[in-house]
Amino acid sequence: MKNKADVINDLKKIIAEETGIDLKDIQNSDSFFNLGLDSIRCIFVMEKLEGKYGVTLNPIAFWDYPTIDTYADFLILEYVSKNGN
Amino acid sequence: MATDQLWRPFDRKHIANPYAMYKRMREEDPVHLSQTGEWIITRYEDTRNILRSNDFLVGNRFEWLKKGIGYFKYKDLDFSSIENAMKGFILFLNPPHHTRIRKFIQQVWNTRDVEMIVRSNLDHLFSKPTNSFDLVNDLGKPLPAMTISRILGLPPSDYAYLKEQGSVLIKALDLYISFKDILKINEAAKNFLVYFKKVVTEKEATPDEGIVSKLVQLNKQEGTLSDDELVSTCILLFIAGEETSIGLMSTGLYNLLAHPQVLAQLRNDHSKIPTAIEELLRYDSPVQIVGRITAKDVVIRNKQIKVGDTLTICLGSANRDAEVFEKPDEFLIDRPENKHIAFGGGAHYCLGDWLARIQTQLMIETLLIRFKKIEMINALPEWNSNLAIRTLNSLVVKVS
Repeated sequence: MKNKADVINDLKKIIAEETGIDLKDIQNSDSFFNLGLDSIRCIFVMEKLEGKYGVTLNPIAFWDYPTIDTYADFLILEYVSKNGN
Repeated sequence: MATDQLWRPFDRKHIANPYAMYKRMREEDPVHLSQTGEWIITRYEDTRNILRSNDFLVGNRFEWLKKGIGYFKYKDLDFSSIENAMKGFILFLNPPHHTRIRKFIQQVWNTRDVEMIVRSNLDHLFSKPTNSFDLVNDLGKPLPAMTISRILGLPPSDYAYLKEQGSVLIKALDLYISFKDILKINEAAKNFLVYFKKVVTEKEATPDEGIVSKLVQLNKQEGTLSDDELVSTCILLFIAGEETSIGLMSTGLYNLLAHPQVLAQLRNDHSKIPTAIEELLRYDSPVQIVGRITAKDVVIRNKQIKVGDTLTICLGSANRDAEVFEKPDEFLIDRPENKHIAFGGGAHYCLGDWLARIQTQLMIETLLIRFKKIEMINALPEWNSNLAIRTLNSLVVKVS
């Protein structure tokens, strides 16, 4: 598994592509909703993350872990619980 | 990493037993603003009032799907079949369209021979001797599809195909879905549209006694529905009683097997089956969740709910509310007054309640008559993770 910084970077890249926001303007503490991701756009982001990490994600996790920083922790945990360290 | 949210519908524990979370929500925050921004309603009184009130509309789910279809169009993905298949679904419509289409359906929506149809389907499903089978996959799933196919006047050989499409399309009603779900839902929607367009054309040419024919004939006279709405209405009539009936039959049989003393009572006295079914509907409601959207600013239990806010109404929780039901977590088939709201309420009260009840009753009767002993092989059943409709994936039994 990549380290957290790499996961955060992947997340930011996907969000930048989806929203058109410049990569360097996205902060770790930003919430998905402040970045303009609603429940529909989150579905698309989730699909890309599932493809990239080979995991099945729970759609409500975007609200349970609403920032890039907290979501990255969640993603790592999902990956590890599926694949081990 | 755990979350401290009150609303945690995807926890594995919740899927197996949603009632612990509901109980906490009813006690701590019965009108709960969830992390997703929707209000979660868990008390009986609030649920009943909302379902009967004109201050709340339906269709939020369909609006969301249409928004999604519009969004994916920009990515060159065409999911318009979902919208076309569902545009006549009365559960998504408000007056005046809801009134118009519901009244239209009600004129033909009855079948005198339903008991005979269900009995012959059960005879067919039990035509081979057996000592072990799956109550979900061998009985609870095929029976409603076979029955509704006969009622609608569809060829008997099509039910298995339609059942598969139906169990995919119904996922569109679930609370949170993924991109992969949308792809599958769109495929199923497309298949349904092709199928029922063809059926409608056939019934126009050669009418029969089925409900699709009756709808086609009535629409020729009255012109109430557009061609698209007619096809969509047929799709709804097929799928509305599918997953919901699977829910009632699969969780119902599980709960009966888990309460052998109740099953013994029913075996001794079949006249108790109807009240037992009402208690099954209350105790483990097949439709757990319905949605509403607020039509004007309202206050419920001191919470300010704004126009446009969405509500997730937990019927399964309302039916366990201790304010209304004594010993709500106990399965008691002789409750003096069982005012459950498993079929909803108000203008959108379930149109197929009679069909669900009679199928379940005849199914339980048949099992009791055919088998002296019915035992679960695994004590812990496997639940599907749908939130809106509670169903078992499988329930294998030994019989003798």
